[in-house]
Amino acid sequence: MDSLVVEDLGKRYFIPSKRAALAPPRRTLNLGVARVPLPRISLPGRPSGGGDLWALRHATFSVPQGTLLGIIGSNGAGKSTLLKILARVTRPTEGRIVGHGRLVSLLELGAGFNPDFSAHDNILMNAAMHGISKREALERMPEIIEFAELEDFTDNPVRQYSSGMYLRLAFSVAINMQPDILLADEILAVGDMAFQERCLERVAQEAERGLTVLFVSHDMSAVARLCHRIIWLEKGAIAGDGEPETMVAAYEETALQCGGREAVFGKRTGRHANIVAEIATVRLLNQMGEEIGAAPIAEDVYIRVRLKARKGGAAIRGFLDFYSKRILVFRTTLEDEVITEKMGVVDLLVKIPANLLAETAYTVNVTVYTSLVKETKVVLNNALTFMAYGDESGGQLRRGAVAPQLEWTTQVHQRVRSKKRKAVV
Amino acid sequence: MSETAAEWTISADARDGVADRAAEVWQYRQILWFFSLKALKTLYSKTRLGVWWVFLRTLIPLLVGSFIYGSVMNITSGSVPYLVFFLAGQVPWSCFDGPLVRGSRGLEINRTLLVKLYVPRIILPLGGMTPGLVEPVLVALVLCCTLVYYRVTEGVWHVASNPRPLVAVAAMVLVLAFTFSVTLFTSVWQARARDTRFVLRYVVGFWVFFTPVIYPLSQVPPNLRWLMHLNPLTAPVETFKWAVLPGLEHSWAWLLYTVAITVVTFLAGVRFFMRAESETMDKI
Repeated sequence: MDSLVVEDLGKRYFIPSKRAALAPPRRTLNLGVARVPLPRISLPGRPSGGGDLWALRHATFSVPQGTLLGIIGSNGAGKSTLLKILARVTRPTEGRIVGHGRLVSLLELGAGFNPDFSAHDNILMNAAMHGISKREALERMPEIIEFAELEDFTDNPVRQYSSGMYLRLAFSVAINMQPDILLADEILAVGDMAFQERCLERVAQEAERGLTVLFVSHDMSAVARLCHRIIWLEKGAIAGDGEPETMVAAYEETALQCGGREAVFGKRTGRHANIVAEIATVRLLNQMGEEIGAAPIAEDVYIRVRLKARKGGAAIRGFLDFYSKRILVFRTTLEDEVITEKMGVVDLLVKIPANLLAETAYTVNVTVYTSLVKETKVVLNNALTFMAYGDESGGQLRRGAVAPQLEWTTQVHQRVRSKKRKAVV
Repeated sequence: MSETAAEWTISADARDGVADRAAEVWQYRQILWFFSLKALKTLYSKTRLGVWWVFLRTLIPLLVGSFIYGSVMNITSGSVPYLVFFLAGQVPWSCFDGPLVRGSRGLEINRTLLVKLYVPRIILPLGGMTPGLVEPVLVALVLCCTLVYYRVTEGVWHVASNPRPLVAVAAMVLVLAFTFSVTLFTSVWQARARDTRFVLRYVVGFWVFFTPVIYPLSQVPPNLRWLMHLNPLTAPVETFKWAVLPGLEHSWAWLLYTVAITVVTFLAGVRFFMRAESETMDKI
């Protein structure tokens, strides 16, 4: 049975043009003594200046019961709009949704909590806000408190809670309302790791029993790990719908190509120059020394950090940090010092051997120590971002943050008697 | 996760009927209590005097008003002392002025919640109104105390020979119903433009002079009384006074007029609110 059937869903917002919103020639009335601004009065109906924005359009999909559905896409792709429509916070402009069962939304953990009320009262209020009777809420109370680990604090106003306790309570209330459909916007991004794990575990358990979950997240590794299926939204339209691995890879690749690297990987940061040297360029090169945009896994590739020296006689050391999905995968360090020539160029070349990288996106942070009189460093975070790619079958063979080709040895033993098994193992 | 999970539909073209909305409000009725409590708590939170403000804000205008209008301006009040007359007018009036201003802010003060969580929005003006109910109750209490005071000092009950408490309460409920109908408009306007709040303060401030609260209707020249009665608050205020105080008259016909106005305002308000809410939600 389908929990949700979404047909041709669309949401249009009216966006006032920047000129209309920011710099209206606000008329003033000259009273001789002072100029009085005249009020802005707009007649009902469509304000002039500005345009329509379809935050979501022609979205059609259905979600079978018990599916953990991830929704990914860059900022402004329509993910949150979709969830808001489902949560009935906003009305669709076109299309329709047919759903089955109780829908609980977590567009924000703790939305609708009152800081002055106790946990007990907040649970009742939150239940009421989901249209759930007081009797039912009271029945679930012990489970909610237990899962949130708040047994000793039920009568304290939640304003006194730590943010962790607050989030635990919010999630616990939502999951224990026995929803048939749960909407969760970025809840993977909050709370401590241990509780996150517990949440995800619980969500997976509930899914086995038939709970349908729609996750919106930017955390690609978590989405890929947890979800059964992923819908990828781009500019308000469904750009892809399918297996998590495939969708995440496709999304990351597009995000790179479209120059959307900042949306995925963050901006370049760090102090990249000092009085001794400056990080001029960081490039990915192939064996011929030509610049390339993505790294073929089966070949050696090089990363070249080009420094412009401003002073001569300085000692240079440094390292590169390779990140994938915001996790430091490895650091490689230049152990020997190089000495600069005044106004010269120093190239630091790192060889990344073939069959080390996995089929994923990497970003490189560069740190260079320069010591002339004293040691200082220059840093360029997110200096380089590239995809590593393999051949057709590579996707399944090269999973993980790195996928080094390691040496395997295989031995086939004859059947041994149980007495001796210990010795063999 | 029941097998017979109820089916629901969200659709762009089909709007919910009024009956569906009413059922929904009934399902969510418990939050009315929480919203009322919240509105009451936030009203006086972080004040030094706390809940004592309720008394001060009620009593000070009463004392000042009765002194100015009664002693300084010498407005006639028939057979009863001016204080009693003034209080009897203030009870139904305070069912309008406080609740209107508070209810109008119902959407505005909850907007952070409204963009994150769905609740039937029509509950919010109602929830905002409820803390305003404290005032009429308090004024009524003061009225009772005053009546007892005059009984003790002058030996006279300034009460109608056959008081009609049910009619008095009905008149208050009618005022509240009218107020709620008005907040269905004003709360949406308030969410769109904060100007509404200031406008409302003036409207309410002037409206009291067109309602026989501080003066008896008998003071108005007979040929202008119908004009006074066009104000839908005139009839319930008069009826309340008639039900409580001695030697007054009132008109059932004009009361019926107010009922009619209230019903029309309510229906138009619900229609307006339902049409405006989704659009307004996108803008706040």
